[in-house]
Amino acid sequence: MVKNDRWSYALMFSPGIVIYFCFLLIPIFLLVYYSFYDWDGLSPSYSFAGLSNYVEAFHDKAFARALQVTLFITVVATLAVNILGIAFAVFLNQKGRMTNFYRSVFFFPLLLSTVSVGFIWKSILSYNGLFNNLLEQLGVERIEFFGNPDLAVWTITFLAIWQSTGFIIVIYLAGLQSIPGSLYEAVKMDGANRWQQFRHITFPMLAPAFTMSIIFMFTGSMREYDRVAILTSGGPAGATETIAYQVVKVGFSANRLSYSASLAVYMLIIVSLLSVSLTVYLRRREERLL
Amino acid sequence: MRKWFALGMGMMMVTGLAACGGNSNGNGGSSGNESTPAQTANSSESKGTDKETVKDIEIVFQSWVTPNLTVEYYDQLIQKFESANPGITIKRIQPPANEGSPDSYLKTLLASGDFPDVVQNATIQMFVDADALLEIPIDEDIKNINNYEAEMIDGKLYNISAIRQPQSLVFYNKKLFAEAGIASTPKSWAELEAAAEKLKAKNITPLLTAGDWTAGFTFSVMTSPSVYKDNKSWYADRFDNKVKFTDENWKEAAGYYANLVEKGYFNKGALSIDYTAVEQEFLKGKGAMYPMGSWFSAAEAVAEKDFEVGVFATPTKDGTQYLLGGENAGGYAVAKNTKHAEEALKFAKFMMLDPEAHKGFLQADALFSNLKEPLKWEMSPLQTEIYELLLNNPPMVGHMNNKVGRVPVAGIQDQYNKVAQNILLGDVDVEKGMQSLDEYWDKNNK
Amino acid sequence: MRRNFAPYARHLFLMPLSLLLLVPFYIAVVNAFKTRADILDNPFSLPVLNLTLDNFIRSAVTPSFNIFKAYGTSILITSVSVVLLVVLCSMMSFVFARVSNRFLSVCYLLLLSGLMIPPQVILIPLVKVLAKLGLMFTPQGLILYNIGFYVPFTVFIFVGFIRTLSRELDESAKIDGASQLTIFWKILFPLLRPATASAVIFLCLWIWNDFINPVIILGSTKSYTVTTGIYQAVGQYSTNWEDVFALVVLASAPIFLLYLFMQRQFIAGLTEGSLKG
Repeated sequence: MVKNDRWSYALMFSPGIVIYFCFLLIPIFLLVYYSFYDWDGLSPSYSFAGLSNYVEAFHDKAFARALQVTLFITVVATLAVNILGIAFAVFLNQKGRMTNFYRSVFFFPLLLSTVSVGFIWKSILSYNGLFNNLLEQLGVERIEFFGNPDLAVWTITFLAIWQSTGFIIVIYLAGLQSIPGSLYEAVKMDGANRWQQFRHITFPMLAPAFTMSIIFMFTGSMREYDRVAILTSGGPAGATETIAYQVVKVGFSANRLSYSASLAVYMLIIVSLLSVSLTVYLRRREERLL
Repeated sequence: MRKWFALGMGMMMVTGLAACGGNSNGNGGSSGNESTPAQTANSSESKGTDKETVKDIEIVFQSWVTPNLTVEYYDQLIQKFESANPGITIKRIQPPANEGSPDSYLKTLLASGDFPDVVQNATIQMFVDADALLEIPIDEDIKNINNYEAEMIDGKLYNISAIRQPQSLVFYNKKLFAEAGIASTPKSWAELEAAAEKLKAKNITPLLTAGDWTAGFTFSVMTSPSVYKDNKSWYADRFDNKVKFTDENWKEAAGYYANLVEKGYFNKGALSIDYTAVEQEFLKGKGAMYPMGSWFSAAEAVAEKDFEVGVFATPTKDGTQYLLGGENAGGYAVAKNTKHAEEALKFAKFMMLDPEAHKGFLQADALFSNLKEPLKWEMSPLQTEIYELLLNNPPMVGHMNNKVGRVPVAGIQDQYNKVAQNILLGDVDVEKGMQSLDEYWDKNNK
Repeated sequence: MRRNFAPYARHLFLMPLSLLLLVPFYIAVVNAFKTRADILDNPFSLPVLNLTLDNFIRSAVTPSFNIFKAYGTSILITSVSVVLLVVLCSMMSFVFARVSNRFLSVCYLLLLSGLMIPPQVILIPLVKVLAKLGLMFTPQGLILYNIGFYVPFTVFIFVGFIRTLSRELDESAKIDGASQLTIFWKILFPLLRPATASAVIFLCLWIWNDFINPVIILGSTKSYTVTTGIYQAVGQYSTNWEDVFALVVLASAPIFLLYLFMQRQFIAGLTEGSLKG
């Protein structure tokens, strides 16, 4: 590499990484630092607590439950969104009447903030919300979308799927565009039907888009917070508490910032391990398929 | 080499941007970030020209805006204060999101070193622990308040408040009570159960509650009076491990509550609605009894409905009345590190003790004066009923996350909510629920 | 036979889903124009008879909130953040795509960790950092945080795309003696248009719609964004749904207009193979 190039590269690389460093990494490091103390988030002084927060978190039943809930939402939402995403992308990739209309509509949920969407759905789905009023007029029993613990988790998951599908469709659409038409011509000659075309050409060729969608959905759902905060506040009886929600609650409402920091560090470790292994697996899969 | 260069470049950029940030708001002193260019220009001008006037002092005041305590209420009082005290300007700020308390907002302000000079409705204990509040000298003004010792922490006063806020009340629909043939309001647990049974027989929903915090609140006001009337420093004793949530009296009270749920006396779908919704349900006549704090009477006073609302204290086991609630709780407090302690204190006192401010504050949230010479405001019939209940009541203690001898461990209300929601979900193992409160307490007692 | 039937099957599948996706928008928009009583009585009807603008008038400008000021802040924050993000991250990605060494691999891993942290979790440490730098309660602070937070996403978009571009392009320019910086801006950046388009679109959406960070970093009294304005109508003790609907409509209107206006480029940009991963 020419010396001159080095300066160029440094000039191009440094501003972005430094801002990232200052405003995201340093706060994360600070969080890790706090996790070894017993700070309540307020007091001027705090003392070293060693690994005690981590030991406590390890035995924390509420945290284990939140982890379960988060994993459930993540797995269901990631799978559902990707299945729906691929299916709709394939449908939308065909030329046809209304294709443009559908394309626009599927993008709509992305235009609204999670907060707005949360409020709209709350007004629709709550016990005396618009949907339940309609049911009552029809003589059907009201449904407790947020009051029944199991249903509440499903409702949160459904809304996550509702809002993310558009984004994932877009990724797959982009992936579909990059598949050379000549590949299809070849198998059509062999008399492959649509399903076979999909199985042997489309799906394998979508591997890079698949990797990206899975990783984005996975990391995104593991951070689930807004919907829970707006729709259920973690209730009923803690059934919808996700890790992120619990970290915030423990840190802010129970005033145990250091303890909540240790929960956050666990969360970071778990999510990193899972997403790194997912990425490695998916990248290998790409290499195998392409 | 390249690494260091990269770092240097980046730092230059960041400090550059930071400097822009600093410049645009560098003129306002401790609370400078709030001053607009116009204001800055103004103040520097006044400093330059009329040297004889007192230097302008700015007090930053965090207000607590509710449907009852409106922005207009504050602005009008601030104007009155400013015209009576030339040289002091009040800068009112408010939390961006209306959560249960301004605590989270104040925490971020504290972390960033921008704690306001005067704060309202904060959790006093929390900010005393953080060494953020100023001790308030006990002078004649303070001695004018009944029971001013109630909110003291280690013998020191940190908040100015002269209110009584009864919380363990049950509002009832007089029309529905008449329909079910209930002659007198229940005083004991047994009487409440009997009344609920009569209502249920007439196909009327006897009791109303909601999800989220309302569930925990209802549970707490229905159960704790029977426990705290015999031990007014229960939380202090809990800290000393003299009592537990799994003691017989608590288990019995929780069992009584679980029984009410099990018999189906509460509204269906309670956990799917929130506080606003349950209030509407009651005002629409969809339930006979609604356990809630005195503030509900402010909403009742302006609601259109075709029935009258009455009130009684939540029944206790043996039928003796004991109301729980806030005794000089909340109110106004002054920051420890304020640059203008004298003026800030003056403003805080004004907001609570000035007759006009005091009355407005009480009326807005349906509170009752706790001054030696209590101030009367125009009460609705329902509010007069509450007032009369209060006359016979000994000094109140709090419940849930409020002081009962001492302030409980932080965040305990979340655990109350969980226990109550579990009971509403049909989990009748109350002993396990009460045990979880003990566990939460021990775990978070740091 | 199948040829005639297939298009209909497709609509059978796509239509219900479109409706499901549109219902909440319909609800928000029609109810924003109704009175509270009307919302409770006929939530699904069009407000033809009792159309009212009161909700907008009441909630757009209050003593503590002014929608026009909020639009100004939102536009400033979003545009500056997005422009800087695109400029800085496209250059960073160029380096990531063209050079490989251990330092860069470590940086890449560190970027990954940024994708995994929920912003709410680092709130207090972030406030500490911003306060130290004197950036708390300033738009600059929020902009810098936005950049920091979205660097990973933007870099991933660009790196994926740049890797698909042939190196011969830069090699040939290099022979003419141009520096890497010039090569990037003169030759590569114009080719990144599809990636830039999708990055701009998503960043605009996310930054415009962000809630928690503007609330905390901007504070409340001096400046606020339109999205945080929605909370004006929501409290723990009361929620004025009619105002919420009106504010949701007001907060999202610019994004919708922009979307409808640019729809064609939008979808084209997104599907031109920009997200190859």
